[in-house]
Amino acid sequence: MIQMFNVFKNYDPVSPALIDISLHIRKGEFVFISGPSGAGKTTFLKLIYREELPTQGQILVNRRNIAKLPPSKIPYLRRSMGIVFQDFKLLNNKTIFDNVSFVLKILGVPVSVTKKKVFNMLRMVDIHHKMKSLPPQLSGGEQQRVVIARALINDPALLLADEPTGNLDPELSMEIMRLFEEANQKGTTVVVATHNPALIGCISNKRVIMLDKGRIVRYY
Amino acid sequence: MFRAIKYFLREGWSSLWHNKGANFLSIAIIIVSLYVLGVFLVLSTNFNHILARWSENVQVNIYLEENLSEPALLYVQERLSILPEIEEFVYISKQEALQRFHTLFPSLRTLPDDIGGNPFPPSYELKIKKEYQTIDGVKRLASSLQRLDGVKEVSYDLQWIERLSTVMKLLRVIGIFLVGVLVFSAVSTTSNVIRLLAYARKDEIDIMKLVGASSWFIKGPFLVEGMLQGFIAGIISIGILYLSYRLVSYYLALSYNLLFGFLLFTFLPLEYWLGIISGGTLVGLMGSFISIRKFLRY
Repeated sequence: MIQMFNVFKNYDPVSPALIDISLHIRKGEFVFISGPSGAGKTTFLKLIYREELPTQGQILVNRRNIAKLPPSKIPYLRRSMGIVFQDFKLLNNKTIFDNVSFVLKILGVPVSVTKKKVFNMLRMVDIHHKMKSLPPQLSGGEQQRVVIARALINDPALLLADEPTGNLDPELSMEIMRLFEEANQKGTTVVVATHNPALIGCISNKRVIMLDKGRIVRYY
Repeated sequence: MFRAIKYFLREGWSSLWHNKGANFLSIAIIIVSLYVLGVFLVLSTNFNHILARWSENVQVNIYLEENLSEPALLYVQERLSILPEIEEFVYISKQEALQRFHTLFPSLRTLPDDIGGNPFPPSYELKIKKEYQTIDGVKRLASSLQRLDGVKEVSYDLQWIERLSTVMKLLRVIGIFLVGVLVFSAVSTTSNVIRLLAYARKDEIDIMKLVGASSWFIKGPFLVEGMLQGFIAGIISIGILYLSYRLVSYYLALSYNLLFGFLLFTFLPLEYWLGIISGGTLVGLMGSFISIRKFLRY
């Protein structure tokens, strides 16, 4: 699913964000990218969804070399993914329902199907009672759940999550991880970046890649 | 496809409505540009009508040399009959010309005798075919007639038409320049307004990109918003133009009934209305297209 060959990423020459990363994440895997703040976890994810380009090295996502992907094809790459952003990235002037349904609108899913699917997804993350609210009217934890609903709504082949439980209490965090596991069991490849070791412990069949100062320091 | 267009229209309209203040500015500028364009079109349409009408009555006279021999006269007559521009021609002898003078100016009956005989040369009165009733057509014909043996002078009453035509050419140049400047300012205002609106929604655009929206999907509502600005401006400008036309014709008809009543006899035809509205829509589209491009680089 994801292959990286000697990938480097430098935002500035003094402190590189990623150094010589080579790895292979297979289809259907559940992988944690762990490490302290500033280890390069977010950059690692950004390279996969082509928000950033590697300074050096090659990245294949679904056998496509994303560094050579023309700009017009980037939306199609992202449509095959669900992304949970650390800072949510919700459309603040649109309701919770519209935020989640927007993904299906892009894909051209009929309105009747969209309504049903979005409602079910919002119920799954237990936020359906607030679907007419705007994001700023919700708490951090609630917004987090909306983001997760948006990421899962199109049954993505790849789910990328950046600190997905950062704003949630432990109980809800477990619930979200269960949702990710469920998606994984249905065939979605899941990559979760987190600095929370407790979160890693709640998934049984997983792989952990530890980053520190931009390097892979441990695999298990 | 249909669903996407519906989405663009809804989003474009909603943004236009929510940002009334900024959008009003570009709508107003487009209205001014289209109004000035419309004024020039009304003037030019009416001058064209007048020119066409006046040209219809153009008559060309050729005056022959005195005491032209029979074969020379026949030669002129023969040439006239083969020229394609001439519909018909009538020969006016010296005697007939004098007769006409007597009929037209009875009080001056003695004048020819006073100056020593009949001063009128023999002539031909030519009627020009409709398709040649243009200034250039008549001028060309006159110069070719002038070269005929036995022809002393060719006269045609085109002074007024020529003057009007010069005024029209001048008007057209001024019009093109003015409309050009205004269209440029309208495109740049629309472009700046849309750029401001897009800038205010930069985060939204970035999020749309991150969740997989294609650039057309993001551009669509902005382009529709620009087009709506131009479309609305087009309709309003035609409304204002029509009101001004009615007002001006009313006052001119009151004060200079004959001359200006004749001048302002028609408003713009429907195809011009559609042209102005489409022009406005295009200006809006161009403005928004220019500004939105840079927000969509991946």
